[in-house]
Amino acid sequence: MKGEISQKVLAVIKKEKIKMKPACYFWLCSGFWLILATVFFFLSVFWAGAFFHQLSVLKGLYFLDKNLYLFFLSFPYLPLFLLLIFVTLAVMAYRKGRMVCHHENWLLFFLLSLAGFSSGALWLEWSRQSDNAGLFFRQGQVLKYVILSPDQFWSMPEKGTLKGEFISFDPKTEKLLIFSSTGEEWIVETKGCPCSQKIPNRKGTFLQIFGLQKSVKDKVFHAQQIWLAE
Amino acid sequence: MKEKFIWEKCQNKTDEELVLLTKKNALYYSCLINRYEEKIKRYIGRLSGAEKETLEDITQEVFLKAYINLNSFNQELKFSSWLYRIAHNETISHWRRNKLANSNSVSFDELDFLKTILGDGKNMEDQVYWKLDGEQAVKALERLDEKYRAVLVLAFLEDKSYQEIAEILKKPIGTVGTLISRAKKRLVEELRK
Repeated sequence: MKGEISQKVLAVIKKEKIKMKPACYFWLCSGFWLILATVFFFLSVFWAGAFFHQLSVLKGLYFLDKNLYLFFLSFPYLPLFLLLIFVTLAVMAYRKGRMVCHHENWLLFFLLSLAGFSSGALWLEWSRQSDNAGLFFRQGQVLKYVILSPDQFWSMPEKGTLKGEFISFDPKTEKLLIFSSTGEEWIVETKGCPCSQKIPNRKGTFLQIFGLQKSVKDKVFHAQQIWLAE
Repeated sequence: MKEKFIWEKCQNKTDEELVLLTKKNALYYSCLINRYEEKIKRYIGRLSGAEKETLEDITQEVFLKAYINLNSFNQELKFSSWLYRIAHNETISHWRRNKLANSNSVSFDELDFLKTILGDGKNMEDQVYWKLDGEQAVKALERLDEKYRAVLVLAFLEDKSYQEIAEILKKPIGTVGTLISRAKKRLVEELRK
């Protein structure tokens, strides 16, 4: 019967002394979920940075073309996983805020995210200038504990990676001598390698080399690509 | 007496004006409830297939929730869309909590509307349209996912515009169009089974 529900609802409101939630409740509620969403969003940006940093340090994209095994080995699974987790949490927090607080705040979310980005960039710049550390260095430090470290990754001659300190280069034989990070001297042949520009003049420069292990006994390695170590 | 006076006073008021009045005096809320009671009840029924008693409980819950959260209503939007949104969420969560039996969610006198849904697309196969049988159509509609059923109910049974459906379901207008088109296709597929 029409009107029955209105009577029931008004009776419940009166009997249970139900009050409307004040407008400020919705603003606070909305603000809480938005800030939470922004924090997760910012963390996801941080891990996106870690993902690309790891991919670049381990030359993941290069190996995608040259050596699939090394590509899968160098692929930053954990940063990607954490990135996805944080993106999901950011979306969930935003949606939860929308549901619980009945507010649409795309603009606020956008502004908060922008503020988060700006402060992150400022912090990065400040840490670069103050102690030469910076965000990516810290990411590297974190990654060391959670993923295959670049040192480990570049010390697998049997898989095609070698890292070491440059000692000398003989232009006649096109061979260079390096002192590997595992404490061994390696002869690196560079014949046929498009890397003559990458060979340093200064002793002590660290190199990352991709190629083929020719002799384990004589420690001979054939380079296919050389990078200055990051 | 007082209620009658309120009732007379709110006849010519818009929903938005009534919301403002309700914030000052809860009695005005009865006008809004009376205005939407039947529509909301019908929508919940079409969406969930709940029985009469459950239907009334959910409707009551919807209006109570709307009252508690009235301060979150954005005056720039339509009140009806906001209320339908609450009804939609409440029905879905109630349905998930209690796994309501979806029987009788569409009454047989609504079959014409179902025919409208199917006949709306010119490229729909006529044989499906003409062979449409009451019980079969109801069952087909019941078998649809809740998201498809919701858009069909809103678009064809509740006569809501795309804009309003977008506001109720919190989806972009483009997505609403896609959902309706997919829902119609699914309904045809279900009818073929």
